[in-house]
Amino acid sequence: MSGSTTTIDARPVVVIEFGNEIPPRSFDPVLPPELYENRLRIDPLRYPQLAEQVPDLAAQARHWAAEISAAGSPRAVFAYCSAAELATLLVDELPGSGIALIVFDPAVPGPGTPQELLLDLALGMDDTLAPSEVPDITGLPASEALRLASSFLRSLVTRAAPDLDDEIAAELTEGQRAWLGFTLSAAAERSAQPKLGRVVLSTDSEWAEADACSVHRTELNVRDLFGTPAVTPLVAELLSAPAAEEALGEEEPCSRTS
Amino acid sequence: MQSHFVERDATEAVVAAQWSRVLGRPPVSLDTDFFGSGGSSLHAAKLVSALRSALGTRIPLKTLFEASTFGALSARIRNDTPGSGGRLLTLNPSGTGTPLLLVPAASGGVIGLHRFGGDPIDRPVLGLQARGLDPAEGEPCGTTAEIVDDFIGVLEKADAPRSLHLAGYCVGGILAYELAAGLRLRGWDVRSVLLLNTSLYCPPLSVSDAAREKLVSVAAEAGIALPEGEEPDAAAVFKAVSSQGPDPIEADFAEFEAGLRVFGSVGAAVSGYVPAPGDFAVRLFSTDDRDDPSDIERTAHPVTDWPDLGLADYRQYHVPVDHFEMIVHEPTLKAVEDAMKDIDDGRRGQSEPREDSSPYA
Repeated sequence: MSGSTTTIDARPVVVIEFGNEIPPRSFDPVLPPELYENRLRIDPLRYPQLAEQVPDLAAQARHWAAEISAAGSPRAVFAYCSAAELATLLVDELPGSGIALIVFDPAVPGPGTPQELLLDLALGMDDTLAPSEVPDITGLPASEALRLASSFLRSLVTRAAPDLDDEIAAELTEGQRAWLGFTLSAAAERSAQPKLGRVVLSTDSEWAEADACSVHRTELNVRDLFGTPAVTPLVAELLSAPAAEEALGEEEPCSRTS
Repeated sequence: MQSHFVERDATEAVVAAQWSRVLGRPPVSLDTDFFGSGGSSLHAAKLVSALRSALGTRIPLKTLFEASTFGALSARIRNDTPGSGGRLLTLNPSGTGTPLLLVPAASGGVIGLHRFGGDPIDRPVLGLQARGLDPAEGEPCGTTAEIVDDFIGVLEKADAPRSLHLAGYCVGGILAYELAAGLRLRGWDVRSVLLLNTSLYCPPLSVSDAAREKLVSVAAEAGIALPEGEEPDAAAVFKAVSSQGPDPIEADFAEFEAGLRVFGSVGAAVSGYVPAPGDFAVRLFSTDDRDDPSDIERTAHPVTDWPDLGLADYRQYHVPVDHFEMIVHEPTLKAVEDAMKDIDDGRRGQSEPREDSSPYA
């Protein structure tokens, strides 16, 4: 008996997901089942000492590439929101070629984003707080901004929950500081927008077509984009494209699907 | 039948108590998400802090971010800290009033009573677990005297506060009353006994009779039809129950059987029970369906109800909901707290409602 055989791509996929997000977003519900079992998860907020310093994204990408290198070259990297640029740098750092980059609802933090995050974190602990009570970290050097914000958040925890034991308070602010540290690093000045691979958008997001290989606009809100398997077929389609293109030796075409 | 969510084990009781205290409302199902219910990161820190204090274990804050539903969080704690709490659980570690001790009913544990660990109860809340729920502990106690001695041993070993309010739901009220008498004899300060719909119609039952009643009830609640005229088979009921619903806890038939034995032992221990008048404060919170008609029918001995026992300090409160609803009924919880607070403050009778009147208007 003869005929064609189908090669199963056994390479893992990398998912970049923020562990402290409320509500959490995860690619788990949308990954095709065979990929779900073989995924490597990166939580950018677990970068060592991210709560204490602001390393640049390239250094973070090198760290994560080294962390997952034992698993071999992945088939794809998935990211969302402000992890978009980290994901592009990670793909560059990883060995092998033909690694698909798939980004849901990408966002590039601007100079004012760390301040917005600080305000959100502060109001999350004390919704009676006036914005003027939150120190302005915009424009400060990243390490100084992180130090000032950290000190303010710790004082706010003490004020909002005076009975909270120190250990828990430290754990809480460590997570917040790591989030700020990452945002400060992602908001660093850049010469150009990152060029993304395949972008999938919810109805609440926008991304310029010129800044991606393809942009897929869905009719789903953010919750449904991540929370239901409705986009699983699209993910499977996006994953199969690079392999086919690579096999043909063609340059990956850019396209748009609305 | 109860319509509200009922926790399935002691871990869930503790988690539910602190969850409701932090968020102001209890989880409504295993799938209730902490952050989806309005929890912020600060709320998360408060919940984890309270659970650490209650369970005496170090739960990392990230646990709640990784397992944010009530069921997942409880499962993580159950798996990561097996046996935490032992026979004396802490449902709430802090508060301003004299501590409240929850005495188990026939189930042997504090399942169903988690709301007493939340608002508006403003005091530390402890909960006893009956001997024998853990199969490794051997046979359950056989008489009320044995149960009382065993509970006192647990309290003394745990160095529990020696000034307490005691509360028992349903038949647990009888055990609370008897425990109060035993503690008084040993010099403990029993502030009050709170009887939560405790009937004194206690029909004569053997251990096996009471266990069989429980088994039939479990099967009925699970919608399992039992062959008419045949003895219910515990193994078959367990198999059917454990195959239903999400994440069955009782994965071990030995634990299921142990629960039945405890139920049977408590049922048999209170058979024909008649209380002797105590010299401590007694508060009865009573619904209209407190006395089960079948228990009335089967009780052969003359019954003198609580109001007629000649208790030294007795008040009765009418609860305007049914037997199952009362333990999650906010106004009833508030009335229970107010009753304890009045006793703590030495204001007996000053702000209490009239005898047998509703305090909930």
